[in-house]
Amino acid sequence: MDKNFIKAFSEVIREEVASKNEVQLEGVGRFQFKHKKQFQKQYDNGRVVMMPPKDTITFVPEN
Amino acid sequence: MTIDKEQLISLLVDKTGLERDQVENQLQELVNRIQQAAEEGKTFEVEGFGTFSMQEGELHFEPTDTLETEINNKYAGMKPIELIGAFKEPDGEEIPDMDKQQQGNEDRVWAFDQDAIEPDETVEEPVAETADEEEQDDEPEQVAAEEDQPDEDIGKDSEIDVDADQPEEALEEPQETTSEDENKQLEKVTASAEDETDPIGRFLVAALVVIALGLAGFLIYDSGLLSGSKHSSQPKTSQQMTDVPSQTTGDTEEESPSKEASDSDKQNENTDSEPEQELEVTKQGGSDAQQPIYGLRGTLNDKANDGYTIVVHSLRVKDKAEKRKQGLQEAGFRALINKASVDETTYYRVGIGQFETVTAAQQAVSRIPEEYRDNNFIKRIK
Repeated sequence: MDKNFIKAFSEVIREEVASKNEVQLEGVGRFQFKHKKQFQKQYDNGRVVMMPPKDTITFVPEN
Repeated sequence: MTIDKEQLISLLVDKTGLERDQVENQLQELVNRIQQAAEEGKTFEVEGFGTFSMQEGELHFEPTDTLETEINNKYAGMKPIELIGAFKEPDGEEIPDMDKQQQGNEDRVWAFDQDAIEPDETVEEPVAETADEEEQDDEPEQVAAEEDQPDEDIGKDSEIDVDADQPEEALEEPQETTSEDENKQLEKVTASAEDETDPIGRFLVAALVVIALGLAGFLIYDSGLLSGSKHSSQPKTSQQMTDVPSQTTGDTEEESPSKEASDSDKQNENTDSEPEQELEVTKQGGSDAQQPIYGLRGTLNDKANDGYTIVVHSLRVKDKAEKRKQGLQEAGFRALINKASVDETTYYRVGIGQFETVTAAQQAVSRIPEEYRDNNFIKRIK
């Protein structure tokens, strides 16, 4: 398996997901873009913090 | 928008520049390997992309940090912000106040420091003391040991004596240090107590001293230890007072008190043989049966001539003395004339009252005519 192909594959999926496109990979699953809003969080030591928003890539397996 | 297999292959062809068939083959091989690894329960890592693994019967994908950061480039670098104030978690638990928490922590720190410092002080000082005491305990032994050597080697070496002296000097130093330490400790311990008790204590001590001195003086006075000196001191003081009347009255015939004072005792002896006094005493001695033997007023009593009288006039001319005496007798006083010779000059002293003791005469001074109260002296009649 060509390294260039692996590298191209990673870049393509990253670019498409970054542009909020869902990438369907037959036989494996789907890569999706998901945005997480900011939220409050309290640590065990009592400190309360506001977590920043976050953009993530999630994988949904196929069956 | 969903990128399906056809679109993905087209994108890969554009990206790699390979033929479409090659890209399809490569992509199919990749999917097969992922499926194979998943079936075997193994993890399959795509370099620079992520890791596929089987978790709980499902294929799980964990992106690499590089991929995660690139996807999250919009919010990259943002960190959790700490919130100050009361916020509530979605589940309703109350969040403790940060300010109160910090104050509580500070209090705890302060209390901890205080607890930590005090034991240190109390521990350090005894340690220092014990160390000094140990030095003290050790060095005398050395001194004794080294002093024993010179005793054995007397006359051989003088250096040993020098060595024996040095430890003694060294011994004194720790003693001084320990005493200083003890003083410091005492000062520390009694600093607060002294501030409170010092003024009262000093006042009490001063009051006790004054009271003790007063009692001692009264006892000495009361026991008569000063009675011997009273006879000599009392006339002197009163004789000094006679300076004033002699000047104020302008009577040039009065004797000089200073000469009289020095010879007062001799005059007493000389007056024993004075006939005039005896005549006067005998004249007026008969009518005093009811009056007391001694006294200021009334008539003269011969039995009282062993006592004391208050001399108010001292004249060189007998006639003037007689006049003064008669005047006093008319005023109701026991008046008598006492003849005395000082430096070959005869003085006629006019006295009033007959008193058993000097003290009684002194008390009677306040009852004599006011003009004489400050100008008189007490004298033994005989």
